[in-house]
Amino acid sequence: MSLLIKDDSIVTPGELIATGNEFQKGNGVFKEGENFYSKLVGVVFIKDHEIRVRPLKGRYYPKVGDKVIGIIEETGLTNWNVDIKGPYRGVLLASNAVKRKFDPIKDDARRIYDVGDIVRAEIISFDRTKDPMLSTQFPNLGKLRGGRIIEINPNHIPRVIGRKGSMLNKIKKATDTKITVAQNGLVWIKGENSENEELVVETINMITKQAHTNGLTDRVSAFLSDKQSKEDKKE
Amino acid sequence: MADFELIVNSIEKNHINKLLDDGRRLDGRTLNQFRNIKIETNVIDKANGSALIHLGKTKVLCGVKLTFGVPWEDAPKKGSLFVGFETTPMASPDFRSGPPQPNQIELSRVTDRLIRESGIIDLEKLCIIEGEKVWQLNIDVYALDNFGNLFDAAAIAAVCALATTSIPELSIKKGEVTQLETSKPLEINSFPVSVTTSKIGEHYIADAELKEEQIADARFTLGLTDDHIVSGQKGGENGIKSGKIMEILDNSIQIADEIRKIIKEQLPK
Amino acid sequence: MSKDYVRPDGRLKNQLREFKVEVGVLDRSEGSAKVNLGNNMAMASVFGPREMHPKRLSRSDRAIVRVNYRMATFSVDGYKRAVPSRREKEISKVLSEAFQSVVLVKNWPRSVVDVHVEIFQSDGGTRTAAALAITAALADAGIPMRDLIGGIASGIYEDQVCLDLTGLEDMKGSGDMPILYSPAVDEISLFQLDGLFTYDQFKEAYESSLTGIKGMVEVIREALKEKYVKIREEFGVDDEDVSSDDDMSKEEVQLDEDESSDDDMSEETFEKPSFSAVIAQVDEKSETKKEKKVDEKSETKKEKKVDEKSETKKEKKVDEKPKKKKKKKKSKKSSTELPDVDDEDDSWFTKPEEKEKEEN
Repeated sequence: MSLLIKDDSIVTPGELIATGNEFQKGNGVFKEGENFYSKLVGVVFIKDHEIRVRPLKGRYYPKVGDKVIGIIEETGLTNWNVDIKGPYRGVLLASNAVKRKFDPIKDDARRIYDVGDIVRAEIISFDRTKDPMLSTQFPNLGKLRGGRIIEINPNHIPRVIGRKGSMLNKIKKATDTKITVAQNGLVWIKGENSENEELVVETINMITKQAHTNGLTDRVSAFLSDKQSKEDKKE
Repeated sequence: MADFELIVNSIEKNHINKLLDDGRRLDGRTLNQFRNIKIETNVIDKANGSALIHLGKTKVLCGVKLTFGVPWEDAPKKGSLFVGFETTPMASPDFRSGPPQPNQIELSRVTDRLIRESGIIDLEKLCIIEGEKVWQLNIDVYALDNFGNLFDAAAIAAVCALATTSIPELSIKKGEVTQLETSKPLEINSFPVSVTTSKIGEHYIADAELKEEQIADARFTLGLTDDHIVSGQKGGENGIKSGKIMEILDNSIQIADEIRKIIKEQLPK
Repeated sequence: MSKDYVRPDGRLKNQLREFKVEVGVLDRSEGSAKVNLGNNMAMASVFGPREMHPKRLSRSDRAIVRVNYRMATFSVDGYKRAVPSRREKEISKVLSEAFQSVVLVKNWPRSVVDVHVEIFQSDGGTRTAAALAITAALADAGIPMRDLIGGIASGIYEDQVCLDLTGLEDMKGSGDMPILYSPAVDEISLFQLDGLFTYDQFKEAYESSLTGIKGMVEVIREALKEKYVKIREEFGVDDEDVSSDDDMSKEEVQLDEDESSDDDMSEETFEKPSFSAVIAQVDEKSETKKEKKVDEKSETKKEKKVDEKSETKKEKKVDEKPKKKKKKKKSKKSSTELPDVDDEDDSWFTKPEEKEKEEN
């Protein structure tokens, strides 16, 4: 019947967080008897008696409905293998890639997506027994063109987005760039010039380094407005 | 698949090429600039010499061990030298455990060539009893973290380890050899430096970092002492225009001189 | 009398050597650690979970933890040849099995967690030094585990039961007992014995090892937290300063949809494939996901000239989605968090009805 570790503390695997059946186990926590332990190095998050540990590192685990950015690794006759940065390789069938009917005899898969292409896709099915299936049929999915792409730890994506997109919007406005963030940790950035794009990269690196701290939003705002005023001074 | 081969995606490739057109690189370096070099020596007590090298984020560790050996029949007064490179799985997701892969063998042999041909060690000074017993120098470089250009990092590590190696003193009485408690520094006679140039499209850059290395068409490594060219190796699946070779040599000589200075500054006097 | 026994390096019987752990020493691997245990120096790296190669070794319901233990040529008193020895292979196996028992392998089926541990300097108890480095590296990599593993090799030297043997004590002594133990789950994951132990000596070595290991595991915990605690201190974490926008720690963040980023997806962003498939443009507003999907459904019906088959396929897919999303909203799980695996939890399997619809 007790909480042994404060909410928001950093914990390690095997650390006892709480005991008592009034608690519930959430992600990042395992239960033995009445004891709740952390599975990971992460931050404790307790809400309504549910104990969770938010991981600070870890590879991407696919979930149906996720928007991911992947790199085409292999082209087959009617499908592509896509690297979505994790142990499970994405499979994109030609029938899920484009709206029109794909005819393997007449159409060449490589003309749609070739090795090295970057695509924004949605995971349409995944379970423990087979690899995730992707689709690029829906709006705002497909091959990305131009801009820059960076990879961060997928666990930091929520922080980069912020509550209801607040953090991301702040960055976009301050740098005048287009940004799309994928659940698997890839971020695509496109700005008018490379300085703006570079500033976004710097800001995101700052966020990922401090993802486990409080007051981050304010520091990011300060950082961006500081850069802004330096730019204004230059002009 | 993805973990074993780093496929540099098309967006990054374009970005790198665009920067190169402006004479810039991903990390802000100029085309001929080497990354920051950090040297730590005597990091392994049990080894006779050792060096941990950071070349940017690439990290390698070299250990030197002296053992007793038998001289080659045709060189009874000369000690022996063996150089190896280990592409340990910790350095890269595509280095696997198991029998040496071709890239490991190439790295071993090219580094061996640089050390052997440069005359950095006078093998006759390693003689203990002529025709019977000599010192064998075992130089092993381990890749810890591969962020590109293991060739040049390995060379720096091997040279720095040798430059700070101590050789145990011996007493030889009536053909009996005993190792004493004391040791003296191993004499080195030259300071070879390896410079690897990579070709990306029409651009030639020195000290390619990981992504640059992945998209490079070809690479050209040269081992240089103060006054000689002692080793060379071309790698990669594409050709290099003949006219470029002398240019690369001229460039490499200049770069090697600067690197030599940087290394000497960081070594204990 | 035996209490005051002093060992060759000046230690008492129950004294551990100096033990240091540094986490995150390498950049390319997912996790890494360097351990100094007396004169031992071990470095471990973790890549994974990743796809298993060769595929035939993968297991359909869990990850495999594959440890590769190697000693550098210059790590020993003489010189060790680079070819893997039988000893290295045996140690690789028992270490793999030890970590297989604490890593939550069912969280990552069909994958492998590749661990490489290299001994760069050895002085007795190398497999325990290796295990300490591996534990820290696995935790650093974000691999879910039930507990950390600590290890000590104790044994008999000059008839005294000594904790944490050096190379000399191991070689000249008459018994060696390396143990790996996890204090929180109270489990022995590795046990080996080699030599001549009486019953009492065994008991003494065993019990003092477990006590010693508890302390070592605490050292690893501190090392794992250190980096993050330092950053927090640097930025002065203070609850009162938290602005209303500050998210993660206090509020839930809806991760299901990055709504704002869809605004950036325009015609120029996406390259049209060279034959005439068109990726439709829909005017996106920041609404809830469910409403958006409904908008798409009606607009796609109007706009596109798609043949019957693919249209029905699309509708079905759209139909399925809101259902799945409802489920998601209930559990409020973030896609980047690891799913929990219970034996009763079958949400990982596409329900038969849904599967039929897809196939039609």
